[in-house]
Amino acid sequence: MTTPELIASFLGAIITLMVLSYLFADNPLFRLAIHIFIGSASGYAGAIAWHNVLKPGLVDPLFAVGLRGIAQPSALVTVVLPWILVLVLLLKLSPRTSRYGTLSMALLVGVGAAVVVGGAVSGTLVPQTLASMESLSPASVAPQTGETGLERMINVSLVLLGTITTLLYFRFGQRQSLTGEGETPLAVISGVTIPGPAGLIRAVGKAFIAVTFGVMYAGALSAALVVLVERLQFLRDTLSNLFGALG
Amino acid sequence: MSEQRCPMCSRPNPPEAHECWHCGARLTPLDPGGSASGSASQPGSRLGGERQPVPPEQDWLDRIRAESEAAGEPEPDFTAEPVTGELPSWLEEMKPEGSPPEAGEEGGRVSAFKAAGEPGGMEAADESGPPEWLRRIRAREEERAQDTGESGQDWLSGLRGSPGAEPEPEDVSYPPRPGRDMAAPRPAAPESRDLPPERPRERPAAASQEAMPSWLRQAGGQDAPPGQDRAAEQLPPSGSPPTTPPFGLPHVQALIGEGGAGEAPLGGKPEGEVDLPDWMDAASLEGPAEALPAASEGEDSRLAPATLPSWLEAMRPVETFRPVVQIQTEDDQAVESAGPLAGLRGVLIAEPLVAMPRTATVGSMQLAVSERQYAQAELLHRMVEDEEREVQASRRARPQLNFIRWAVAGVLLFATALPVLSGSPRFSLPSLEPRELGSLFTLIDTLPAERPALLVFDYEPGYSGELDAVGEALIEQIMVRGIPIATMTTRPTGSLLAMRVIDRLGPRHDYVPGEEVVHLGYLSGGATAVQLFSLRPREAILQGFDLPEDMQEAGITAWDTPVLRGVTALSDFSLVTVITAGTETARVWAEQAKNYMGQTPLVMVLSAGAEPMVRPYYEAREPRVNGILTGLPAATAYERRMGQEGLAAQRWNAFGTAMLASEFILAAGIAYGLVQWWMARQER
Repeated sequence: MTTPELIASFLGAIITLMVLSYLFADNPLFRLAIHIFIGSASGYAGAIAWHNVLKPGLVDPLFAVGLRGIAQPSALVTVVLPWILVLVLLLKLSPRTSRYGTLSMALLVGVGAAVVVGGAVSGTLVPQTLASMESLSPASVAPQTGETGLERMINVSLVLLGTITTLLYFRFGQRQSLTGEGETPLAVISGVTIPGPAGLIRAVGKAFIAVTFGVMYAGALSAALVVLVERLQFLRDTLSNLFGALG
Repeated sequence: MSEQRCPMCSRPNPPEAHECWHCGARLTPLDPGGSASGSASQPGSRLGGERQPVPPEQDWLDRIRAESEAAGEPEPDFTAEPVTGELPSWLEEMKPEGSPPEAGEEGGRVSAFKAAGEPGGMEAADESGPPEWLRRIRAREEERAQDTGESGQDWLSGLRGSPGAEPEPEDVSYPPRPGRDMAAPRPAAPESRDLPPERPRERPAAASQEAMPSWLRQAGGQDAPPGQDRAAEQLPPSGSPPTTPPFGLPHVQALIGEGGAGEAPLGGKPEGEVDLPDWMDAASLEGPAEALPAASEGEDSRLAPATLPSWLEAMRPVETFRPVVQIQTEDDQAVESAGPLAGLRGVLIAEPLVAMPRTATVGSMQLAVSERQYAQAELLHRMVEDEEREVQASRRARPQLNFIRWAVAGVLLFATALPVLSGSPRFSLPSLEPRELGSLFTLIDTLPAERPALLVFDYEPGYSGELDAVGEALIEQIMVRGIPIATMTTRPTGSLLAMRVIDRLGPRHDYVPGEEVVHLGYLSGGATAVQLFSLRPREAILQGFDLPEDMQEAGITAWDTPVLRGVTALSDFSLVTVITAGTETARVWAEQAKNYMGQTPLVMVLSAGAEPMVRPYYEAREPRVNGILTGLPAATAYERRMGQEGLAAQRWNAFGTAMLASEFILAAGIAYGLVQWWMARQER
């Protein structure tokens, strides 16, 4: 390991320990590490934006076309118009002139909303709706996982049940409260209230949602543990390299 | 009340102020009264006040008459005040229409109110004996008596012959008192002595009840017991100074005759008796007893007494506005300071009516407020007050060590560090692998090697510890197959992560930058840029990132490198792999890019927390995602398929112990919660 790499690893280890000091409480070391991270990330992002976006997309074309080429029709669209939109958008920085930047902002928001809505309808809404209408035929085969027979029937049934009960849990068209007030319970056994049919359906939907959130939480916990393992291995390797270099 | 409002301008004034500071209007009422009319000036003789019956020992008339006879003074002559106009409108309105005209009335007009000189007036009666209307009445009574066979004695002659009837006093004239009387002082017509006072005098008292019109009875004209003659009480003795009405009846000065004017004997009695009708007697009985002693005091007592019957008094419009008016003595009365009567004392003022302290109309309104509205008003009030309140800076609490936090952290750190530092315990690599892992492995294994694969590093540096380990196995398989690789990102820090991973794996498989691998860099613009990149990649990203120096010096962009030379669309890539930890990023690529990828597969390398939200895109009938690799177990299985040990396998032991410790902590937490729930249930 070279010396710069060793120093970088050592600084990384120090910053890692500063972040882990949050275990004690919010302290200056933790805040200092956070500020360092935010500052370095912002500076790096600014440099990336200049080198990857602004310079090749805005400045270089202007120099390539030159002053005489600006009057050309193609340059008006590819060079002048972007510059005008950018300069107008900069007027948003001042409250007095912010209204002049509305055109650029409207263009950004309008195009972005249209792209997002179109993609959501064609890429999520329709495919996911069709996914909940799978055939219960034992002969059909899942295209990705290869499930078939009883296994697929069970999976498709679970998907159907989860979809219906989850939608009913959000009380579309029902007036009962989330706690089931106003609904006659089916029975009370040993102090435990057995809800009525509507309440039972909502309880099943609630269970599906709980399972989903549980899976997501387990995944997040798993990811966090992997990161913790990686940090501990990094500290171990850094200390090992440092002691090796010193020793 | 802290302040009083001016009745004229409604502005506030100090409570002790008598006049408005702003407009000069009188604030405290200037009570009329005093000794102007004798009886009205006495306490208890308030207009409309409660009248008390006169005790029988207060026979003031007898006493006055005795004094008069002893002094040999001539009897005063009472004159009626000339009334040239009609009856007051308020009195005219009270009279029912269609009531038959009675004696003393001509067309609803009382003859006693006629001015001097008018036919049937007092003056004419004085000159030629009884007035015309009285003569007609007498003739009518005589005819009736003859028809019924009764004696020729009418009620008037009966009264004349009644005991106690005394000669009517001589003419007594009273000088006009400017500014005191209701009517302007003018030469009054003499009041005829034999002038019957009012309508009921048409019939004897015994028959007055039956003959009284209904409207008069309803208006309060209650007859006194028959035979009760109060006329003598109304007339002061001859030579004695004029006195107030004996029982303190309300004094209507407009009906008082002027002194010195022509006079006529009341009731036509030469003896000076004034025969009041029974209904007026009843009214006079209601007068306050306190009025008697003061009736003879003061110069105003020279005014002729006149009374209003109770029914008439009750109809005075002033009563409707002012039930109690304190009539003060003349000395106590204030001088009028405004208006055309300025400078006069004792003016019957209308100001007290308007200057009567009363609550403003606006302020007296009471709102019907419900409890809820009151609570909301209180809430709003508190909110407004809270806005003005200065919030004290709360003292920062000293950080306290949380035992549970320390316990959880200690357990996790120990479980994770133990395998990292000591290498034990060791967990066997998973023998089971996810079902989608096989299809993904096959997919990568069958990719065309001549077309580049696009790797999208869309995750933050914080997730590099997981996603580097998960994605490394797949990237190694791509490199094993020799497929050119192009990287890009939609996050500013993604380029650095991509360069870091490629720099670590590339040398193992002899990947030369610019020849087998190239970095396109950062794509700005979010979902719109992803769609633009899917349509026209060369227009979305112009140059590239971290190209070799010789290429930069030659002005070669990433699109000119051998890796991307034949790529003009997203479908030209053999594989698009998105490595991300966020569901939103995965959704954007599935929604925006998949439509323009053609047969190019889209593979997601995901963090474990993002898998539940992306898996539906994979298991759909028309999948938007063709392969998923998620989590450290799947990565370990993928490395085992490839027959090598990578980052996933290196972290497997520590990950296993950390997961085991986490499961114990979760189980302990669940047990603690259940115990608490059970104990709370037992307590209930």
